[in-house]
Amino acid sequence: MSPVRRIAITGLGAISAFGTGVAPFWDALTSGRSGVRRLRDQPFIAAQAVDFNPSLLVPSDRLELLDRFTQLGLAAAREAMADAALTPDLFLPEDAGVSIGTALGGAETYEDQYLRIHKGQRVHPLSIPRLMHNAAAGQISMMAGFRGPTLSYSTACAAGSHAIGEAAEIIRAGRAKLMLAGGADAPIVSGVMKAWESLRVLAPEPAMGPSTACRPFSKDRQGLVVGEGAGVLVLEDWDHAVRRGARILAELAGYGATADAGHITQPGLDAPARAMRLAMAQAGVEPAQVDYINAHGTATRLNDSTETAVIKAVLGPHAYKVAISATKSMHGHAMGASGALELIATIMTLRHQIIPPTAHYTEADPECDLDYVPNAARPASVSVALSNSFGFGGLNAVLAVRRV
Amino acid sequence: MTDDVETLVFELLSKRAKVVHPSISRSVSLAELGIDSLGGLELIFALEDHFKISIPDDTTQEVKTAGDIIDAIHRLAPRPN
Repeated sequence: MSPVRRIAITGLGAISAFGTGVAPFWDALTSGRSGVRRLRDQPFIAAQAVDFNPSLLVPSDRLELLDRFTQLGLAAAREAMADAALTPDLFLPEDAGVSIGTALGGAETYEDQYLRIHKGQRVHPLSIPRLMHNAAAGQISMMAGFRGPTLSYSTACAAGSHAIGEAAEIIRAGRAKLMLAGGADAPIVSGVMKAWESLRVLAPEPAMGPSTACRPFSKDRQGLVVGEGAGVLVLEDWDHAVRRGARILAELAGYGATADAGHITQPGLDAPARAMRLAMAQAGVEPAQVDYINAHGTATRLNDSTETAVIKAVLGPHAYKVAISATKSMHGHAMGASGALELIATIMTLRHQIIPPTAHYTEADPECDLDYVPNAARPASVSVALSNSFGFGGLNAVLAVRRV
Repeated sequence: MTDDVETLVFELLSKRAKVVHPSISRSVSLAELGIDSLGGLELIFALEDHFKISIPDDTTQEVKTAGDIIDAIHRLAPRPN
């Protein structure tokens, strides 16, 4: 039998409504600050990466080839590589791959080109390489010079988590020593926003302003708030990381992926629970050992009550003791980037022993009766944590991380 | 019209060149300027828009140098008068 390979997380990169970098992201989350604002040019609220400046990233003539989701992904990947102190002499390019999740791919490019058609203009010749869902994965592999397995996963709101979990499996299988893995999405374009609006799951703007619109697990929750961004992590074969003297941030200890095979949008109970159990089993973790769960927590009525029931089914009585928070209350629902951003938040929780809160929580809901760490970050001893992602299509991904 | 086309093509080429070239002439190839196949597509798109012409696929495949582009435009553009 081949040895069981462990997965080290050695680098993080995040672009979010709070700006470029993991530092401003973590600072905002631990202060309970919301990134939700009213959009300048559209009648919506969203958690937009307003400060992101792609021209700092690549020369302007190359930007023409990059949809916004790819720009966000490249920026996060670059930060993660620098964070992991990766240099080309450390490994063979064939041993390094890329795994990036995205729900919507090049949404902005689709929209721009349809607008051109409606104005009687021709479609730009670089539209296909811009809008394809694997554009971010491909561009990141080019930027990094990685020539190993390079893939993109499109599993709606779970895409980032699936991309990370599958990247870990690629390393465990010995197909790569190192993977840049995460998610990127830029869905804040008018067609996509209107489509979400039509689905009637968007939170309205509260009278006091947009910042408190997303209230996961709170009785008065009214829906999700769309966000955007990218999260990318460096995953590494544990022994490889140790040999090169890398700073190991956490262990990616488990991953579970399941499908509801039920309804295209309504979340199930059994399959998400099974995903949590699979992740815990791979990590060798019993229910009582789970200290923190970064919830999928979208703030839709159905997700939050269902997720609460799922956590109870998996953890039993320990469900009432575990700390749970939904950071989407602050960074919004960044679609395919969510799982990656939330895993980064979870790793930072392990590193700093501080649990970011569920912000804007006002009132307990009898259907959501667990400890959601309301409104204020909490110092706590956290050794094992889970990050849940449940996507439309009934596609579930759960990641388990362990403190080092 | 000859001079206008040539001037504009040279201008577009120098703007899109990825490799610095001391002087662009008819004999300079797109490859020498670092313009790859996608860059070539963008160039054709811009030329079609500017001259209100449609450059057929087989022509785009034949075009290798600045001179080829200029000749193609002359062939395809409606003559003045």
